[in-house]
Amino acid sequence: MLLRRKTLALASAFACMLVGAGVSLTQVASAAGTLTGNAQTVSGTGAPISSGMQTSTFQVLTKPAGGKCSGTSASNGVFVDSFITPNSVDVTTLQFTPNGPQDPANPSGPTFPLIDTTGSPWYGANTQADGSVTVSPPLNFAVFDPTTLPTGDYKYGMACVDSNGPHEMFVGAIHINADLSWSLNPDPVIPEFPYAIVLPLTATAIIAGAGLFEWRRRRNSHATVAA
Amino acid sequence: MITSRLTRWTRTAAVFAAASAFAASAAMVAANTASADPHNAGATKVGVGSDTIQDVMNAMAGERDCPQPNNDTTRFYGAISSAAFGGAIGSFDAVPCGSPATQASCIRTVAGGPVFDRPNGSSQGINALNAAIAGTGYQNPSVRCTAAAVVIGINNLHFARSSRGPNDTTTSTLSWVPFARDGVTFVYVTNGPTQAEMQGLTTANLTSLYTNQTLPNFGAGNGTVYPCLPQPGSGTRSFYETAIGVADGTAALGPTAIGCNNLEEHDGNAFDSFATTFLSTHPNSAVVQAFSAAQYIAQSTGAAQDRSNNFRADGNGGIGNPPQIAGGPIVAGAPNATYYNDGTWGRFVYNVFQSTRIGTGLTQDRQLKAIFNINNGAGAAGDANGLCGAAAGTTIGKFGFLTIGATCGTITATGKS
Repeated sequence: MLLRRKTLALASAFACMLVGAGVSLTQVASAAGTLTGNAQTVSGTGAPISSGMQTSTFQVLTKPAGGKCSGTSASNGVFVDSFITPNSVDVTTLQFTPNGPQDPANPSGPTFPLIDTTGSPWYGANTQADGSVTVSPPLNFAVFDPTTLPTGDYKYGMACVDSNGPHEMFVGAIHINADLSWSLNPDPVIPEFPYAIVLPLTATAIIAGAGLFEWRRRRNSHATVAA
Repeated sequence: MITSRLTRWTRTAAVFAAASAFAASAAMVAANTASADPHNAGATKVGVGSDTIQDVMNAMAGERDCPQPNNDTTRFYGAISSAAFGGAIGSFDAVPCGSPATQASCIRTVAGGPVFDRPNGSSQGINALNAAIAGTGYQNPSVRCTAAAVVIGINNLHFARSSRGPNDTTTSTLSWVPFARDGVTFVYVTNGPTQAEMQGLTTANLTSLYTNQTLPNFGAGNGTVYPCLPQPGSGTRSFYETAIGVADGTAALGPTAIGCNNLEEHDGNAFDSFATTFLSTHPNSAVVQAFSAAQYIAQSTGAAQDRSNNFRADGNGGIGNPPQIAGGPIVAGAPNATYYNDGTWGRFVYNVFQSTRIGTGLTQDRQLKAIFNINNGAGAAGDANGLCGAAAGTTIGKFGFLTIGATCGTITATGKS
């Protein structure tokens, strides 16, 4: 009975180790962000809006609402940085510097934080206590001009960033017109987490681990009887 | 059975005690976090740092200073803001109101942000701002309530109060923006040299004093003068040492030898208490300490928290005049402009910002620039509600500083720290 308990405990520990390894791998890979969800634009009343003028006020939040960072500002040094960058840029490669987001392949390109109606960048915002991404302050494109933000398709959104770089990213797509009016494009496709692969692999590893320990237990038991 | 019950009881008691201790420490942190800090829930730009200008910046935040007796509500000031972009500032004291500098204190500057050690003084404020910009952890080097360095976050700290210019100009990460002028001098307590002799102590005398740890054979009675210094990291300490031309390591030797190398700056009572004790065993002696003239005025008039009432009442103390300018730093309770504008003993006082936040690029913070009237061509340089506006100028005067006209809001220096 005692041995069986030990076997179970070891199997559990092994499973925990696997999960832990998964977490560690996620953190190591975090130099690049991970597309976690979409972003959406809403009015001050929370109603979705899909277009506006340069000075039209809108707010941004995750889609669906309630998207979370893997840590919090209060405890883990995780903050929310916004961005808008040309559609051709792979947002997971964006760097979030103290001076704003930057496309490393084109540092002087039109990659900026979103700017609120007081003219302050929405950058370095605190998460909520549970890590949820806070809804943006009222934003608009008043401070931009066609030379800084040329007409074209862009991605916009926010990233959960800590000292290692971006982690979760929430992305929407937007078209900017020459007069800085805008309209949303279809949401970028977010790759699903490959549960179909990872879950069976994890289960197999746990079962194999348990089997290994059980096999060792029986071998030790036979050896004891033989002696 | 009895043993078993006792063991269980002991465990229960231990758990209860641990829980109580945790609750008590949590309550202590909450209490320390709450004292003498911004009450303005609308504060959008927050700062920390210098002791010298904490009171005048409290006023700019619309706060009265450290709580006045009898719930006095007459010392509230108009908060600076921006007519164009709104917003207001929150400014956290260098030391919590009514507490000694040795008491650990934590602050949370923005809702949802981290709790971190309160920076005490210009250098610590600047260090905290640099850490916030870099995304690295900050921890007070001497008095702390955190177990480890805490990442503050770039949007949880927007400016550092500073009573000195940059010490390290190897990068231009930070920009120094002056808003007023102050005079630095020394205060003294004596039981030997006369008041007139102490007020005749010159810059050269101070250089000798802080270089050689004492100034012997001073005055007609051949007394001895001993030096003190404000806490390391103080902008006033840094400025004072520059004025007398003595490096910090050398200047600290004398104060360290007699135990006054870290007296909280502008705490005249702490200095008086030390001097009284020290002089009780050192006849025919005097002790001097660096001091801001503006702080001296503001504490005397009650505009700022009065931390020097015992010193002023001592009868054996006074305020010095190292450059020997007619009238000294304070004339009839007001700043002496000649002294404040002296090239050695007068100084600008600053707020320090991340350079790119007050630059002209798209990542500039227009509200921040407007509130502080940072006039580099963009934003609302002429915002009358800002720090360089007329109303703020009146408040600056009440706190013993001189206004500086068009220099207010101009980036006069950049640096790393």
